[in-house]
Amino acid sequence: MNYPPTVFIVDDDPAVRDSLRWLLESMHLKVATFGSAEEFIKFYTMHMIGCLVLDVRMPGMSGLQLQQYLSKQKHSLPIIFITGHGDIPMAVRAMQAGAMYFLEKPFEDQVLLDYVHEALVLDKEYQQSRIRLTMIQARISNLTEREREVMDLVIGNHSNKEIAARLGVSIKTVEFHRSHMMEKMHATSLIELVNMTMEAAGDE
Amino acid sequence: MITKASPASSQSVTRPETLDKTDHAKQTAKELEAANLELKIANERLLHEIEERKWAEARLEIEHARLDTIFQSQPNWINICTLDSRIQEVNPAGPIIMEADGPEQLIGRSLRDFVIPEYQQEVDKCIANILQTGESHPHEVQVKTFRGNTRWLTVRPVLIHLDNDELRIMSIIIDHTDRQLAQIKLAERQRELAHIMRLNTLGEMASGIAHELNQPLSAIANYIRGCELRMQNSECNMESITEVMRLVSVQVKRAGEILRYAKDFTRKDQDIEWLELNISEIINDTLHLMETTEQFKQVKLIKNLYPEPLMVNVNKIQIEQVLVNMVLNALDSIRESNLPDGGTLEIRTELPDAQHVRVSIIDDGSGLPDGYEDKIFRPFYTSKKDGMGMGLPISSSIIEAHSGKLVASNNSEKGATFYFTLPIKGTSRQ
Repeated sequence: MNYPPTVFIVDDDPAVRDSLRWLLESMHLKVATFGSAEEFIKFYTMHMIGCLVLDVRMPGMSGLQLQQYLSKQKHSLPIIFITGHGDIPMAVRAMQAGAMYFLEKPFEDQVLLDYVHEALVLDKEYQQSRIRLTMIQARISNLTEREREVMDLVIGNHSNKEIAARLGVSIKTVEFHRSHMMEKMHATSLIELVNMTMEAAGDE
Repeated sequence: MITKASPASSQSVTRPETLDKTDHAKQTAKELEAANLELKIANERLLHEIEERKWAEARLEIEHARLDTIFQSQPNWINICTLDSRIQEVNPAGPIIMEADGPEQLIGRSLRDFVIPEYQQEVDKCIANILQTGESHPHEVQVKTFRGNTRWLTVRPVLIHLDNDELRIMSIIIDHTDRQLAQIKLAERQRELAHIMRLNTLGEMASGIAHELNQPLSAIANYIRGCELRMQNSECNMESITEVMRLVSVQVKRAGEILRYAKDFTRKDQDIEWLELNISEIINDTLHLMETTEQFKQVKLIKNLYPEPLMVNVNKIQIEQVLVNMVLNALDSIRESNLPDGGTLEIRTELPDAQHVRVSIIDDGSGLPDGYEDKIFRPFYTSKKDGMGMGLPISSSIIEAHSGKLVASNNSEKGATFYFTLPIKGTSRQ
C-alpha cells in the first residue's frame, strides 16, 4: 500500500508522452504514462501519491472531463494541464474547475519541474486527509444500524432524552448505543465527531 | 412577226401581168415572199437571243459582283487553294487575321506554313482526308501571324469544282482568338481564386497546424533538456542518449512534414499541373493534411474507399482543396451539434456508373439549413460566424472544371452529405 510518489502523464501523442517521461526521469522522478484518460482511470487508486500531467485535448475523454471525473470521485490529485497554443478559454475553464497549474506548449522545462515538485508535496498532504477519510468511512460502515441512527441524531444536536423519545427506547438504551458509537468512531468529543462526519459527508 | 409580213403580200397581188408569165412570176414571188418571211423570223429570233444572252450576262455579272462582295467583305478568312494546299486566292480577311501587309504575302503559300508545329500533323491529316474521301471536318489550329502573335482558328475546308472541271479546296477560317483568350483569362482567374481560397483555408487551419507543430517541438525540447540534465549529473548512458537522439530526429522530420504539407497546400504553381492519379491516394494525402488539425482527431473517421485504384485526370491540389473544404464544413457542422461521442465522419468512394467515381463526405452534424439548395453554392452565402461564403462556390467551380458535379443534401437521419463526381480517366477527357 506504500506507493512511491509518481508523475502520471496522460497524453495521446506518444512522442510527447515519451519525451516527458525522459525529461522527468532525468530528475529521478518515478513516471507512469497513459495514452488516454480512460487508461489512467483504470489504473489509478486513491492510495497512490502523485500528480497528473495532463493534455487538455485528447480524443475520447478530454483532459477537462478527466478533471471533472476525478473531482466527482473526491480524488484530490493535483493536475498540471498542458495545452497547445491558443487554448485560453480552455485554460479558464480548467482553472475555474480548480486546476492549479497550467502550461502552454512549448513550455520552459524548469517551470514544469517546479510545478511537479510542488504538486507532489501537495499530494503528500492530500494523502494524509485521503487516508483519514478512508478511515472515517471505514469506522462509519462498522456501526450498527441503531448506532448510526443515534449518531445522526447526536450530530443533529438532540439530547439523549429527545433521542430516546424519537426512537421509542429508554434513555439507558440510548446512552448504551451512544458510548459504543463514540468508541467505534474513535471520537472523544461531540465536536470531533461532527468534524469527522462532515469530512466523510463530502464524499457521499 | 406575222403582222409585219402582211403588207408585202398584199402589194404583190395588185401588180398587172400576163397569165403564163403571171403564173410563173406569181409562183416565184410567192416563194420569195416565203423565204423572206423565214429570214425575217430567223432574224427576229437571233435578235431576241442576243437580247437574252445580254440579260443573262448582266445577271451573271451582278451575281458575280454579289459573290465577290461577300468574298471580299467576309470577316472570316476564305482561301481557295490548289490540291497541294497552295493558296491561290484569298479574301482581305486573310491578311488582316494573319497581320500581313497584303494578300501577296499569302498567295502561293500554305496555311500549314503558319500553323505552330503541334498542329501541323492535324492539318496534313485533314488535307489527306479531303483528297481521299472528299469529306472534311472543321478542325482547330493555332497559328503564328506575321507579327508573331498567336491566333486560334477553326478551319472548315470543302472541295469545289471549277468551270474547267479542276478541283480546288476552299477553306473558311474563323478566328476565335478573342474567345480563346477570354477562356484562358477565365481559367487563370479561377486558379488565382482557388489559390486565394487555399490561403484562406490554411488560415482557418492555422491554429490547428500551430498546435500540431507544437507537439514535435515540445517533444524535441523535452528530449534535449532530459539529455542535458543527465549530462550535468554525469549520468550519461551513451546507449540511451543515442536512442533519444534518434527519437529527436524522428520528431524533427515530423515537424518538417507538417510544414511541407502546409507549404504544398499554398503553392501557386501547382494549379496548372494535371496528372493521372488514383483518387484514393489523393484522399489519403488530404487526410494527412487534415490530421494536422485538432478537431479532425476528435471525430471518428470511417474510410470506405473503393478497393481498386480509380484513376482520374485532375489537378491534384485543387481536388485536395475541395476535399479539405468539405471536411472542414463537416467538422464545423459536427462541432455545432455538440455530439457527445465527438461525431462521425465518413469518406466514401464508389462507382455510380462505369464512367464516373463519386466521392462522398458524410457527417452526422447539424445538417443544412432549410432551403439550402439555392443558397449554399451562391458566393458570399455563409452560415458560419467567420466564414467568407466562398468555399462551396469555388469548390463547385473546381469540380465543374474537372467535368464533374458537386452536390449537397441532408441525410435522412441527421447530418449532411456532400459528394462530387469525376470522370474516370479515359472515359471523358477534356
